[in-house]
Amino acid sequence: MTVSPPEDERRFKDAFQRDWPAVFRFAVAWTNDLSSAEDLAQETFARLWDRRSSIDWDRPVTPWLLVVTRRLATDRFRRLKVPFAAPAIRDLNEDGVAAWIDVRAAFGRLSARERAALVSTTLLGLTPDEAAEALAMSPGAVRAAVSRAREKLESER
Amino acid sequence: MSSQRTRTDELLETWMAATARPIPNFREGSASRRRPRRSFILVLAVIALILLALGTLAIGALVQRRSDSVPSAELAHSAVAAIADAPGVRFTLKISTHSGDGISSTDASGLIDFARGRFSGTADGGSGGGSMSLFGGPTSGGVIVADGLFVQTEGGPWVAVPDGNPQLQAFLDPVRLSRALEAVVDSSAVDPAIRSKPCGAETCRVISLSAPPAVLLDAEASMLGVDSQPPPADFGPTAIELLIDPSGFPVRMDVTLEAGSTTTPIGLELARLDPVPTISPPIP
Repeated sequence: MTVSPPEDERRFKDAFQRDWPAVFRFAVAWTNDLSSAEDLAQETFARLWDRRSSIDWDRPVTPWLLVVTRRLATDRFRRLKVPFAAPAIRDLNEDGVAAWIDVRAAFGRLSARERAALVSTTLLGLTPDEAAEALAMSPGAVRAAVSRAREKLESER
Repeated sequence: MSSQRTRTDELLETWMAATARPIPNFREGSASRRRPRRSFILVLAVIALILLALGTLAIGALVQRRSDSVPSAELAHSAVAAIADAPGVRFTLKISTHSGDGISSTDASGLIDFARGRFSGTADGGSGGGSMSLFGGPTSGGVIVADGLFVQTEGGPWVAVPDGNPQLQAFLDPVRLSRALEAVVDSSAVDPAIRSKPCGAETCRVISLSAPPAVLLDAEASMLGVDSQPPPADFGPTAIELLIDPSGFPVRMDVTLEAGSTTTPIGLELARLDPVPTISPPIP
């Protein structure tokens, strides 16, 4: 169901406040990169803003947002291939840097789908069916990816 | 009954804490249109490196001959010749970005063999982490251009990229570089005064230039064949300070890119190489 312009803006703002953390974290999981994830999250919500007058707000919007995030991340990777652009940028305050470097290295041993499946089901609260939709995988493949991810992380010491 | 805490649990907890962020304000438009400043500044930093690494060779050679004012037209002509003549350089680059978000840094070093069109460089995102896409990224890596393009990511194995990278190949094209450099020098304000400054145990001569934003933007487009984003409205002229040792060689260059409250100082140290060490493919 579409809604009136003032109402669709209100719905958008609600979705932004509710879903931005999940979209950002999903993007971090996919890219293993904090700064790229910020851009991807903003871009994802820009797409939602553009479609605010036509989207069916009575249906959950979170799955749509995660699918868009994954597609944007994939498109960006394909487009850049061997990117030629930016040096490093600020990600964390000083206290968080060491911890992030450690966890990023560990997660770097996982594939993008393994990271995203693990994070989606253990931290974002998605069911395997919901994660499967976001990741374009079968629920069984999501479970297998989570299992592989755990095995890799446990053996990375 | 208590469940045993696993390594995965620890990592997930750390990951969750590291990704905890305040929800930003949403601004309409695409992310690339909304956040031009950071990406624009960083791209310019890389472009400035490329241009100035070459430009310093030309300017240094010129100052060795003349100690009075330096006409920009003469600089440009000298630059073209210097690019063709320079065997190669070893470079050490430090880029840091100071903004309201904090400080980020990148350290890079490598070799450029102009004669054979080869490049070898490694870089580390340093304490800031984040994208390191020029050198293979995402946070550290390497690039070798030698009979093909090879990329190393995060200390992993070298990987051949079969299709190459048109932008990187363009970067190693001396004709394209010389034209871009000529445009930059022609359009920059060169301070006729040559100052002195200590550099190590010696005294270096110092040349100051100021490059307008549009010039660097045009250089980026012409060198890389890409459509540039419009610069931030508050992006100011780029100040360049060049230190030249008594032999006439440019040993250090400092560049400062500024846009509003964001400042990006770039420090580049150069050593002329003749002959240039062989840059070989990392894998057969």
